[in-house]
Amino acid sequence: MRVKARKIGEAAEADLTPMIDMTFQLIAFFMVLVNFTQAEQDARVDLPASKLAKPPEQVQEQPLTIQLAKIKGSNPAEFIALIGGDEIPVGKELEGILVRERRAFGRMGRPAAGVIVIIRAHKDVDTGKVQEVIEMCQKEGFERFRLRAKEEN
Amino acid sequence: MKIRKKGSSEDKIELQMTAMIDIVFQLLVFFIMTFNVVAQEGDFNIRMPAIGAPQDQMEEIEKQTLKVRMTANANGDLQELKLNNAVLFKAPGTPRDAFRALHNKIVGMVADKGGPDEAGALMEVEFDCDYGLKYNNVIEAITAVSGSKSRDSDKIERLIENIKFAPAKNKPKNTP
Repeated sequence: MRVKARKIGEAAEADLTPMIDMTFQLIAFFMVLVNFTQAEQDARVDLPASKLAKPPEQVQEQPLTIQLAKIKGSNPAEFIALIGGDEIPVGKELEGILVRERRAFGRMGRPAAGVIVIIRAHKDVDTGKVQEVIEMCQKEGFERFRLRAKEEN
Repeated sequence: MKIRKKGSSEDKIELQMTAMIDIVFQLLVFFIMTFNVVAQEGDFNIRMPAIGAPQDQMEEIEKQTLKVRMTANANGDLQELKLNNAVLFKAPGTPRDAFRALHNKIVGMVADKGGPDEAGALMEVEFDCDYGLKYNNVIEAITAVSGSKSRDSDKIERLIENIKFAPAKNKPKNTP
């Protein structure tokens, strides 16, 4: 048998076409599914599930999102409020933050009564705690509240 | 000037693949990293003006308030559920039954009023919960009163969507 000697200068060529095909497929897939929604989400908030939870149809003006997250590793579970990345214990400090938020909305020409407050609370948080947060918001003049739930499978 | 001979079998046009593949992989990695699988989320509206705030003219019509009282045990699980003082559920039992019973009652009441539009104008639900009740139960109860999803389609049948809360009861003494 004669062994063909490789010529000098002949590069080994891999067929790249299928790989590029697949890679573009994957890019297209992830591009279509990516969503840069501004929804604030936090891994520490495990929302309660509901059959009726449907994403809102119309785009809402910038709301105020208050999250009640479980402090990691706390047993019995303890919860902390999150507003725009700040971690605040539910109490006097939260009232101060709400005053700040109300003023910020006021400067944008939006009275507190028209601002939607979205409450994303962990499913195990005390109902009383959620109500305390709502009461604090009411004191600042907020009156439109939305309780957020995730879609049940 | 030397003119290159055309049509030579040795003279192949070589595409520079390396740069393209670099960028393509960059993009791929970027999209994979930013990809997050999140369940759809939805909201329940509750309207709670501060006490003493002026009410809208439209809302002056006196609404029939259905009181849903939920008590909790020491763990925060549902102990008892009452609708207008009638006990619908008492532990032990699965809380799911409690919410199903509540849902069925509400369906009956809405039908008596002549449909969701009329009931929406005439009725509201007030939740009166223990401080320590787990929030999960409240969302389940709100789901039970505000509507149902038919099995064969995705359509939501509305029931009562006017929801409010009474101040929480039985607050533990050690909480700040």
